[in-house]
Amino acid sequence: MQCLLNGFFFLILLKLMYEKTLINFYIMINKFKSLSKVVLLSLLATSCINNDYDLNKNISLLIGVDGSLSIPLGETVERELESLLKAQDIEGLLTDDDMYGIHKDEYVSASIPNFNADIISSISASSDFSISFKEIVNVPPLSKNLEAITLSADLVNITANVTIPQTNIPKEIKSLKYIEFSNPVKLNITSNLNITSLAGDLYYTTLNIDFPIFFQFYDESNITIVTDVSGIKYKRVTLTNQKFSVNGNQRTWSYNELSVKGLDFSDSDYNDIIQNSKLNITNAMVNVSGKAIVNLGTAQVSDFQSVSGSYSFGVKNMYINVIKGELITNIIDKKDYPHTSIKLNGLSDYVTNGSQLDLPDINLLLQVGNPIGVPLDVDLKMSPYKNGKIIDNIIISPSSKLTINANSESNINSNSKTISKFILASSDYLKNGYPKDYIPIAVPELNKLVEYVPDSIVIDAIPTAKAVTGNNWHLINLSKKNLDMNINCNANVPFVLGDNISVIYQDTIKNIKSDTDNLFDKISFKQLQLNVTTYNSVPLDLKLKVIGMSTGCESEISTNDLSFTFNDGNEYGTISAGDYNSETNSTNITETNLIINIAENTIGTLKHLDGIKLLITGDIESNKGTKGGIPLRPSQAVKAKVSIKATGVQADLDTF
Amino acid sequence: MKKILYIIVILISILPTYAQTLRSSYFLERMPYRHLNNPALINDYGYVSIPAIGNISVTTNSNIGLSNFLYPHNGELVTGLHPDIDSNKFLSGLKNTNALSTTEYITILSAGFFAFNGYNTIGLSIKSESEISLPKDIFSFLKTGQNSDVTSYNFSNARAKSNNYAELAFGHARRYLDNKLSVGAKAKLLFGLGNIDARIDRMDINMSGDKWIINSRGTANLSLSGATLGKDENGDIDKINYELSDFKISGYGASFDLGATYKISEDLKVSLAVLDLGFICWNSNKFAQTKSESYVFDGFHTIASEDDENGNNAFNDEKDQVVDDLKALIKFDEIDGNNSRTTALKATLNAGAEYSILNNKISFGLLSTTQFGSQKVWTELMAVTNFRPVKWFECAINGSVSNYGCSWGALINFCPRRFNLFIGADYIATSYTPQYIPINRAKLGLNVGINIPLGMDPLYKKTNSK
Repeated sequence: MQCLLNGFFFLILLKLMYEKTLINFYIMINKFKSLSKVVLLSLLATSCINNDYDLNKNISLLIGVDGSLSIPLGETVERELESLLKAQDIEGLLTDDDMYGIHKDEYVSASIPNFNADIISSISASSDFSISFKEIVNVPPLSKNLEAITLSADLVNITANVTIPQTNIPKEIKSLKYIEFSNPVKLNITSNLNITSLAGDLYYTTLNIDFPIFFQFYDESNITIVTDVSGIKYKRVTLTNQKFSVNGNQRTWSYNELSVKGLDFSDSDYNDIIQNSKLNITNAMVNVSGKAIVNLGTAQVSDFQSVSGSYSFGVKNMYINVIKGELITNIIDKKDYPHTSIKLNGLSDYVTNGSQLDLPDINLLLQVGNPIGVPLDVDLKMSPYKNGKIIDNIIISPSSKLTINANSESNINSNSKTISKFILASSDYLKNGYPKDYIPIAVPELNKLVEYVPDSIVIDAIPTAKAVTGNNWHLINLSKKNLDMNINCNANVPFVLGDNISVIYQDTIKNIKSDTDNLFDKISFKQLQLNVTTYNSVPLDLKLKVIGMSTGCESEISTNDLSFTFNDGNEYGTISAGDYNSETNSTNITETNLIINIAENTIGTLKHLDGIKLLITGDIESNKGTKGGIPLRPSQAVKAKVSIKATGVQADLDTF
Repeated sequence: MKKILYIIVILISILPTYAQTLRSSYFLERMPYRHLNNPALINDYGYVSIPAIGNISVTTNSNIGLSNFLYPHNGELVTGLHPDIDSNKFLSGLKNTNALSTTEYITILSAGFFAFNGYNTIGLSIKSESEISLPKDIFSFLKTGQNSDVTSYNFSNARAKSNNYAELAFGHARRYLDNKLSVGAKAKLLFGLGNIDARIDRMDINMSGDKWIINSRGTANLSLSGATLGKDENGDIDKINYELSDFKISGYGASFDLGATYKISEDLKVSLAVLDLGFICWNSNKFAQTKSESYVFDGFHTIASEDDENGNNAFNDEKDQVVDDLKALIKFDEIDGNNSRTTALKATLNAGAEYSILNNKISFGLLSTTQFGSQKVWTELMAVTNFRPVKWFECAINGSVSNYGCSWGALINFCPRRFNLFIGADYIATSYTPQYIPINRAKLGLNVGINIPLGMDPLYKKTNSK
């Protein structure tokens, strides 16, 4: 070690003393020069110059922090699902009871064919007969006012065929049981007897007209059912004291106080009355019986031995209003089968291609308004579609057909419809209850409808007339045209996200480069970690990925240059799902700590880091849906708190 | 950046502390200025100083040194913060409070003479005392960062102060009790030249990954005529302006030195002195203090906020606010209404004992010095061996131990009849940089002066005439 005199200025002063000012001191100095040298040298000899500390050398200003530096970067804004999912952007994704779901109302109508029938132009019958009058011994009371000699004759089984023209009826009618006319039509009955003009008054003291049983009179209070010898039933109208009018040698009687309301073929005697969609009634008969009396007047008794006569009746222009019977099954044309599509546009924006949705609580509410008195069996076929193509040929059908109640008879003449309500869901869902007044229909694998994120669900309904049971005949009103069967399909899908959900949350910490003022140019790190604490109330395991963004945050930095890996070496970390509390029916926040190691694989990349993108997605393979099938709610949220931890920090202060 | 480092090095190495004159001159009867250490000490001769160079004293005292901050490493110098320097090695060399203090004392004119039945002194001097103290945690923070989940540092009591004044002193000492007892006193009129005292009364940092909590409170006083505080657009102090033409005395004060010596025997003498009992009342003081007392930074709450329609970004706004808040922690605001203040001098207590042998040719002295009023009370015990081989030459060597470390020094005093030159150092470093900056401990006390001896002490004259 080179030792020098540390009191350099001492020597200067001593020199001055020696040479100039202190001449007289010189002698003394000389005297004690040895001593002063000893003192000075003793002062300085122990001091030395240490060239290791030469400040003219380069002084490295490289500094390093032995420990670490953890700096809270802060937390992201809490993103509620309400803002993340942007329900308004997903058609059909609405909230109900603070719960996300696909709530989709679709109305579809199925055209009911117009049931057409011709007017029944007439129903008539007529018959000639001959009767013989004999003198009456015991004049009935009615005849007491007659002259003394009165004759009477019995009308016995005067039969006539009822003529009903073949009339077109709706082709869908397989079995006709009842026809009701728009208005009651008058039944005109006429009877003529050829009798001498010398005779007195002529009466039907009793006239029994046995109409075919299918005649439905407006007023049947005085009608009795009679059966002939062959067992055929008739409706008997009994008239008494019906007086003939005189018209020369002919006496005429007519009666039009009976109104026919319709035709009732429910009696088994008339089962096959339809042929080629026409009424084909050939065996209907009218029987007339009774008694006629006449006053002899100035005529001879012999003039009444053989009196010819006739009778006829007819009804005209019967407009068919309502028909009862049984319709054929396929009353609705195939082209008119209800067909609707529930659009789910926008949903696919939030799930990746090939993703799956697990929606075990999907349910469909159907309300069907039936305008006709025909119960319908509906076979539903539902299929998920994407880009106009059916997905995996999936066709979902209920385990049983939906039976739509017939419109009630009281509604049949009005515009009212009978509403049938169905809820279609999985058996498990239905076990937990369903809305009142709804008919539960179990649909196996209904959730498959949305499992593969369709952009639409196509529903085809194949309605058929339900076969008549008992006397619950089909009932149609021919006067109602252009009938529609309204179907309100309310798809109600609690939104439960499954695996492969794409972007739920994406935030980018921007402008790092300008904020750090090129700090990464000047500082190096042995290890740089991001400590991300997530707070998740979404009941779904989520996946976090951190991506470095290059200058301007417009493009991602390749992981070959700068990688963000979790402690397990993966590029993804798992954010635990929010914890569902069944008692409070709410989801509690779950906190997850994730450490992300930042590795600069290509030296110098860090200085290009201008943004950190936090990407939180749901596409976790092991994730089969929200925990416990808990529905998503708009208030469920996720946020992240980020701090950065740097170890082995080194910087050269010379660069600052 | 290196300029800053050099300034720190120079501060560490050159800034001196207590000394008005060498304490190793305490026992040398022909050192003209030893009355500065004890007003009761009476010299053999009177003196008159050569103007401005009669007594120049520069002293540095510190409990740290250059070697605490610079380390030779692989052929170059590195700082203690260098990653290759072990943190234990660096931090163990530092004290909890790392203090640097300096005193510069220049006698403009001074004289000592025997009259009025005693020894009288008169002097006009300029004295500058400065000190800076930094808590160890500042360096621990820089070196270690965080070593646990939650790490706390306390930067409290960081302080920088400087006290500068001129003093006009009148002293008188006389003997009693058959010349065994000497008592003396000195009255000094003080003229304040400038005073600044800035301190961080409290600053602690609690760091974790979740949040940093910073508590801070600082005050500053500036008493300097002609100085004004420059402020930025927010009203925050950003600089100190000084106009020399506006200079005037900034304050007035007074102080007293009291002392006594007692000769127990011919060979044993004890002494006691209290110096600088006084104050200065500053009349042009400016007082400032920091705004905030507590600040919690738990990160930004608007990370990744989107720009609004006007292009403003909440994150950028928050970031600017954080920067402003952090600056506010150390920014001083001038507080009106504190235009005057009184500061005490750093009082010093000297207690000495001397035992002489060989007819006083050699003596051994012990001098205890305790100085109050600094951030860190300084106390020292110095052992001095005095040599008086001839009448015109004295010298002394000393060793000292204090709470700022150990050191040694030496003094030579040439005192022939019409001339006096003394030069010495209370603290001599054992190792220097090639630039003559002490390496191991920033303790250095240099004192030099040229004076003209005057009339002899009547008692000395009488004694020697016998």
